Amino acid sequence: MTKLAGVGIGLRREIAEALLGTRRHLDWVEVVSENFAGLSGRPRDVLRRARDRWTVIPHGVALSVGTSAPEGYLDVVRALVDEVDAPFFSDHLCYASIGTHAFHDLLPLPFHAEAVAVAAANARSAARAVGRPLLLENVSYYASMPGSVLSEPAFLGAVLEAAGPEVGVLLDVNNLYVNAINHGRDPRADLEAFPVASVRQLHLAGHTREGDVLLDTHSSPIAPEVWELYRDVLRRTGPLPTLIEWDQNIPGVDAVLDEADRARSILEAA
Amino acid sequence: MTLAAFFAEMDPFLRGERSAEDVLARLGPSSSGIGRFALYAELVRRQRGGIIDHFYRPVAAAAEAKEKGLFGRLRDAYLRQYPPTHWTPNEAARAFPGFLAEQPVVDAQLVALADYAWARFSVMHAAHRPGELGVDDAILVRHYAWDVAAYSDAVEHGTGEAALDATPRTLLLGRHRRASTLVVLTPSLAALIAMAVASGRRPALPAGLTASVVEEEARDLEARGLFPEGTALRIHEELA
Repeated sequence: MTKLAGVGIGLRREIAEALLGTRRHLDWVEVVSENFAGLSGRPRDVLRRARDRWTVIPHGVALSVGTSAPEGYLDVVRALVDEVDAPFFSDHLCYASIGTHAFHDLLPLPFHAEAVAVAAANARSAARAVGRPLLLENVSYYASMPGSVLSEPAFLGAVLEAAGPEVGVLLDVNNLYVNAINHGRDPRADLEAFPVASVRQLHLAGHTREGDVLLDTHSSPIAPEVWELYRDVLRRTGPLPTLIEWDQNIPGVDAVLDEADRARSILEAA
Repeated sequence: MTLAAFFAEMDPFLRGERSAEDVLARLGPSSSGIGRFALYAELVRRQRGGIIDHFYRPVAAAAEAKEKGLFGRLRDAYLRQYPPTHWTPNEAARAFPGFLAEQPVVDAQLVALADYAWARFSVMHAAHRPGELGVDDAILVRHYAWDVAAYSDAVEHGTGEAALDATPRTLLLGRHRRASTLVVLTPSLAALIAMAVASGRRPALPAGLTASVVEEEARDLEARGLFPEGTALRIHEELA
């Protein structure tokens, strides 16, 4: 199992061929688990080529720790994680399905004790079923759910404490920023309260404004404020593997790799 | 409020079947306000709709050319009838061609374009059977009453004004066995017979068509990466 370091980018279909052919420096790649797990054909070919060159981290969107993993899902994730020999896998602290209804979105939980217990137990079970540590990402949330009694950092911290050592944190710096702004808070105050000791990996992404809300769209360059917050995060955590997430309106692989180079220069100076 | 009660309310809300006002009246208020809370039903609608939009861009272009707003109505009706139930987003798009075929307001052109879109996806995601000769799920033959391939390419690559040409086409779609790229071609009769023979059938050769021509087509399909190496030799033996 390899140890992860440096800066990676998301291996997305739109840029897959260009990325696999690039000579530019890149330390690792992330794949969306659902775009590769259990699939044959071209996704499998792309995965093999990526694995031959880089460390590949599966990052899922369907685990749904707030409800339950879809039937059979953890088996195919385990096969994917084994195939790329990933040091860990990641998903989100949220729910994405209720029963048989798949929403294909990352939906926030109410921040309360029962949700802590359910999410922690499901995360721990997932890590054990897959046989690797699981990192849970802090999701963007645009509305506080009814019944919430905890702050977002307190909720995340409680889930980690209840889940145990097999579960860590993937801190999405953009989500930290948009959540603070959308809820009228200071991003640096949120960072102060964040359980940074459990953070094992970072995400950086772009957001867009829609009305009075910042949406976590991954469709634009990383905002200057998020780059500044990234520096602040690294001051608290020390160097951590960092991923550039650009999923929509990707202008080309070089634009994403330019963002990766920028992150690397900040990371190396940290 | 228990999680079970929370999800019991959120499920119909996120599927667009219950209003934010009704849900918050039952669950209690969101400190973010009703407008922000209501955003989640819209975000789910966009996410689910985006899957169909992405898969079926040529269908959308053709539908919108016929009637503005038609594709959006079809997509929304489809997602109501076939709400996604699988964690793979691709699965949410699978039933769309069949759904279109059942709609009285949809003409056959849209159905053909949707079928072609799903056929391309299918061959790109099917497993090759290594070591076996002949055809597998990564190679398909389709017949359309229009040139759906040219139209789809024009829409997806933004190359000029797309027009759906009323030229019947038989298409062979497959994934190159080494390059893993999509191959779409118009097969000759001999190539179709080569495919049949490679599949274990023994069609009678039409008058004027010789075994050597069929073998030549099989070699060409090998060269294009659609047949595994050795298939032409096997066909030669079968037809000898």
